[in-house]
Amino acid sequence: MKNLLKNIAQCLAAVALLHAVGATPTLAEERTVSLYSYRQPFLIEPLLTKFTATTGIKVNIVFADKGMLERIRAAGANNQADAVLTVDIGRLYELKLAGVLEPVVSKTVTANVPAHLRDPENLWIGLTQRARVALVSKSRVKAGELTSYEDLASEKFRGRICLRSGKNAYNIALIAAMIAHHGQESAKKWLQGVKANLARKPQGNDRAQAKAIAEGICDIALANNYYLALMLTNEKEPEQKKWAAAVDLVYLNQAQGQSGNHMNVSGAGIVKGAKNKAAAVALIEFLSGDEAQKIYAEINHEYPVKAGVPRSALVASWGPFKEDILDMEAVAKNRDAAAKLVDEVRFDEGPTS
Amino acid sequence: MTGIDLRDISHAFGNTQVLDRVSLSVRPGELVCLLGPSGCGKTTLLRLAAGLEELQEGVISIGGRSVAHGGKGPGLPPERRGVGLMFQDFALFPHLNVRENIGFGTDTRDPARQAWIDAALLQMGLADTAGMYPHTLSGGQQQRVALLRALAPAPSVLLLDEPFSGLDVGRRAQVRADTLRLVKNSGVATLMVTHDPEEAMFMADRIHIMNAGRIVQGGSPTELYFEPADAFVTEFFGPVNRFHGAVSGGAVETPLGRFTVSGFADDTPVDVLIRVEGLRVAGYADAPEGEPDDNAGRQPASVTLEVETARPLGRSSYVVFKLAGGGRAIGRIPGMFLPATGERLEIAVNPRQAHVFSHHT
Amino acid sequence: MTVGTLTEWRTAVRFGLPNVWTLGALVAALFVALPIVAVVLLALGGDDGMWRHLTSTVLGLYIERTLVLMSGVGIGTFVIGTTTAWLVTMYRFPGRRIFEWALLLPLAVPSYILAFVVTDQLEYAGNVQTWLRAVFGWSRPQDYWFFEIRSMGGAITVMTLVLYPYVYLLARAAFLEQSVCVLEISRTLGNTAVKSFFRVALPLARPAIVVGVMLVLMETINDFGTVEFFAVQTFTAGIYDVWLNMSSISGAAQLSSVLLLIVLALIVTERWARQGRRFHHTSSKYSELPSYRLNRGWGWAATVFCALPVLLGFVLPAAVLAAYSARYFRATLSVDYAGFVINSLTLSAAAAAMALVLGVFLAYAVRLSKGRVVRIAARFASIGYAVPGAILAVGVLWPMGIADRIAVGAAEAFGFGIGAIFIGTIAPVIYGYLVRFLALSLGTAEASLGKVTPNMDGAARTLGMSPLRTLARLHFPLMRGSLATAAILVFVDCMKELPLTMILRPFNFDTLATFVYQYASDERLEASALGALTIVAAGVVPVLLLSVTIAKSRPGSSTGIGTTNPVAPT
Repeated sequence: MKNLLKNIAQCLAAVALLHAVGATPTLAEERTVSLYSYRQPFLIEPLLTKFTATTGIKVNIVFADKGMLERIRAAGANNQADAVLTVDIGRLYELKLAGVLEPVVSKTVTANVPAHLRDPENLWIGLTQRARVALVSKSRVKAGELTSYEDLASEKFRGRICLRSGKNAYNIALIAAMIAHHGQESAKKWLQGVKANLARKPQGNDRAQAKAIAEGICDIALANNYYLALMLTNEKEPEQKKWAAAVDLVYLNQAQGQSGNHMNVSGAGIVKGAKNKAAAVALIEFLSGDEAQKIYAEINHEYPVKAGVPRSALVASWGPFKEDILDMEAVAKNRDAAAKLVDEVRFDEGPTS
Repeated sequence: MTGIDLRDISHAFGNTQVLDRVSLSVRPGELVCLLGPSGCGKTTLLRLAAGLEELQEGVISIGGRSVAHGGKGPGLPPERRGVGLMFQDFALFPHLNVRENIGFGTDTRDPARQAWIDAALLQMGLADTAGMYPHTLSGGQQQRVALLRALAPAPSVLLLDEPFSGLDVGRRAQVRADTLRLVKNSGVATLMVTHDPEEAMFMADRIHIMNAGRIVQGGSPTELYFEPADAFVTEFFGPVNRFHGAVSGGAVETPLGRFTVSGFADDTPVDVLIRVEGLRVAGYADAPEGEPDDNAGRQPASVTLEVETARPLGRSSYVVFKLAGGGRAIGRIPGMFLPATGERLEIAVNPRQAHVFSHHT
Repeated sequence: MTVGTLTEWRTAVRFGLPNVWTLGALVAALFVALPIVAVVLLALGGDDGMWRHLTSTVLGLYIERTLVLMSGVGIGTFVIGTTTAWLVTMYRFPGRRIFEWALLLPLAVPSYILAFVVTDQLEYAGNVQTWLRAVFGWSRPQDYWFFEIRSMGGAITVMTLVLYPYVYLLARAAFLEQSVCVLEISRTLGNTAVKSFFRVALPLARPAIVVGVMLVLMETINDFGTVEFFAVQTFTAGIYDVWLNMSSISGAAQLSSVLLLIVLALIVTERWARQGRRFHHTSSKYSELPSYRLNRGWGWAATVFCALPVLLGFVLPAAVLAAYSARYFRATLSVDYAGFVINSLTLSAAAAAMALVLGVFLAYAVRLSKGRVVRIAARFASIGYAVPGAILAVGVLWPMGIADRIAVGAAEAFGFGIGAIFIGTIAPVIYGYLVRFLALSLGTAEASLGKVTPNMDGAARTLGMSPLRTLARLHFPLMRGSLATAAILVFVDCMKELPLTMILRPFNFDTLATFVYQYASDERLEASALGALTIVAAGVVPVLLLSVTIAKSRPGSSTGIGTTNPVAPT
């Protein structure tokens, strides 16, 4: 207790001193960058370590999967976060709408990241892409049996599909994309069809869906592509390899005239009034650069956004595919509608309701 | 025989023997008191009778039916013995009102019992309190509620554990009289535990004196008072003057006179216990209260003693005498009698109040 | 302001002294209530059509699921908590001495950890089904029926297992306080032991048991982690959905406010039902509890009944976590594990100490100022227990942000610039803990203060003691035991707390709970099993201390009045 009070006192004193002496703030500001991350730290640790080693800029981080926007707002002018890292387009768009982001002004970044993967005003920058793919049972699903998202509502898959909660951010983004493509009404019918085809109540995470296929509970699931890769290469937990071995990855909507496989982005933005703006820009430049993009690809099996950076060997082995080039903001704008659709059809109640 | 019968009850807590081959019985309509100092085992006996403790040795029967047999399991559970029990602290149910407390053990659909309760409430002056909760009642009211509660299911045996000790002294006489009347009217076999001899004598048809786990003597109140079996019983009924002596020629010599004894050989060392109320001032008219007309035929001893102090007690006076050979004797003289210090008085001792026992070292 | 409160103010002013207490109490209550007020204010921000959408779609479902969950957990904890408390208090059977304290152990297990472990064992690939398949030769899920773990039933089971100790704790304390004489009287009046339990012991313990069940219900109502894991759509799950998927914090705040209203209604109903039913024992005599020996069959049945919740709620998760810890030991060592432990311990200890001081202060103020204002303020301040953690975190952020602005502004006025001194430090975390767990310490302090009779106060004052010295010399020693209980409950709850910590913590700051959550949020709890195991272990020691405290709490025992049951903010 005494120690704690002492700590608090010391912190306060240090902060006050630092700012009082603040005649040379640039020094402090250039040396650190503070991040709010929606991504688990252990997933981005290698990147940040590399960044600090390369630039000498120390990274402070808070990980939380919710509440960061409220924290930025509540702090107002005293906000401490310089940049935000997210795992899907939804959060980026929400931050943008809330008006807490400022443009990333960097030729390097605009050169690294193609225009359709960043905000028109560069308020948010996509750093990696992930594909929501179908995982199908090697033994129970014939090649060509499932080719599109639309197919998932087809009667022939009755009782054969596993999904995680419809309210999961990745599924919401997919449903939002369906709304963008087909309109609210068709999307609703489709979602009802998918629900009717579920083998069980939506539950678990993406890995758990592969596991369910391996266990024979269902034949088809949707998952982000990198989960399959991570499971296939999981030396720590061999049972995950077993699950992954039971499924094939299928890119969807690849035929002529079809939209292509649904994609999501993980990304970053700079918080308005960031105290360490230069460092924040440096971080995003680094994350969109060759070295970091390669790490994203190699370690987490995501798709690099920078042209010329190769996919991981495993991901590359799944072959080339057609991406859905739908504007990310169109997806983001429909998230609200998608979440409501999930409620309307009572998707998370599962097949029996 | 109906009522309750306790045969050869022995009980130990760990290594402590609290009851040692105790036997007693109570007939219907009879009130028997178990009298003894605290810790003598009397409450344990009550708990055994109620079935709240597991019987170790002996037999308990109620209404002629054996309800517990030592060493053969717990016996009939308390709820099936048909005994009413009343604790010293009354143990009223705080969450129930007076009427609910009393009716607790009765069948609410039995109109006869319910009518009995209503009548009893009225009779005991509790009618106005029927809807009140126990903590709002006076001690006397609580006592009556507890008593009615125990009687309401019409038990064949009533067990009372120090039923008056929680009350103010001033209120006790009235409550005792009420209780006695109610119990006698109900015809239940009542076993009452107390440490107060006055209370026991007032209430009981028979008294059993207990000491260290044994019954030392049983009998009617007057028997016990006038024919105590030993020094313990004698002293339990009130303070005594105790002298030590040896039998010589069928009598023993004490500072308060010579007392004839029978059944002792000469030279037997004996203790002579003389009740303080046994001392009388010759020529002082007032006869002791509550004492049967004494002992015509016996020769009262008579000595002259010097008064050391005298204090008033109200209905009697407390007089300390100086003895010739050193030491003191105490007399409780009826009425307001306050002789001056140094005054010499002729003192006669009622021989029925003098008890001689062989001396134990 | 009502007439009553005005009079009260006047009285307060006239007599001087109570004024200090009233004022202090109001300030303290306001301090704790601010985040809750912030949530309510947040709710005023328009609803983006959220209500129309919810009422036409899933609101009914949310309410139904919430009610089912609350009923299930309420009944489950009531039955297990009360029955086990009765058994260990009144009977002798194999293992009773151990169960007396062991039954409290599941309190140390966070529900999301038990959820993970139970699912891990019971799902298709888990040990139980694998074993069944091996025994019966099944090979596919279609070969046999097995209950769905990720379901309402699973959620009720898990939450019951980790929450029943609250009811056990309070019921046991209440049973220990009862005069055994009333039970024996009931037996002699023709009731069996079981019937006596229902007719006498249970009604007498009702106030305490109700408080325990209320604590359980509030924990159930604000839980998110467990229901999310079990895919149960409760009201609270809906709150998070509106916030995170429909990007409407004001909508989420509105739903939270509705939740608050429901909880307030619960509290008021319970108070109303309890009106004038404070039971005073007329018995002052407490004989040694006799503890009846159960015969062999019933004895072992009692043993099994008491063993099951301990095995499932504590031994199983501890064993599974220990096994995983051994496997992932190396990974855990690569992080600043000791640092997390220290962070968790210091935060929890600091919060427990402050909650205690504040709780005692408010309880004392309520006692001194007999009026309504302080009482209502204290009630409101302790309602944070029922607010979903992450929403409460947002509520904490607003006053902290304003305080920061004031501090920065003031500093600038004196000519030097500082950054935020609250947000980004541990201050909001501890503040959040206070708001959330004040209910525990305030309730306990009030309950134990209630046992100090006004006559004792009078005696102390006439012996020349000031109110403060009365507090120090009379009340504090009498309340010591119960205050220890309160401190321990707050401590253990803080150790387990997650959403507040996650959102409010400083940069580069992890507690055991946030460390575990990184992995748990990815359904890979096993990778942080050592952290989870440490949370459990850190909870065990205080929980055992608690058990000792209660055993001593029996009236007439040599340690006397000291201890009492913890009590909810009712």
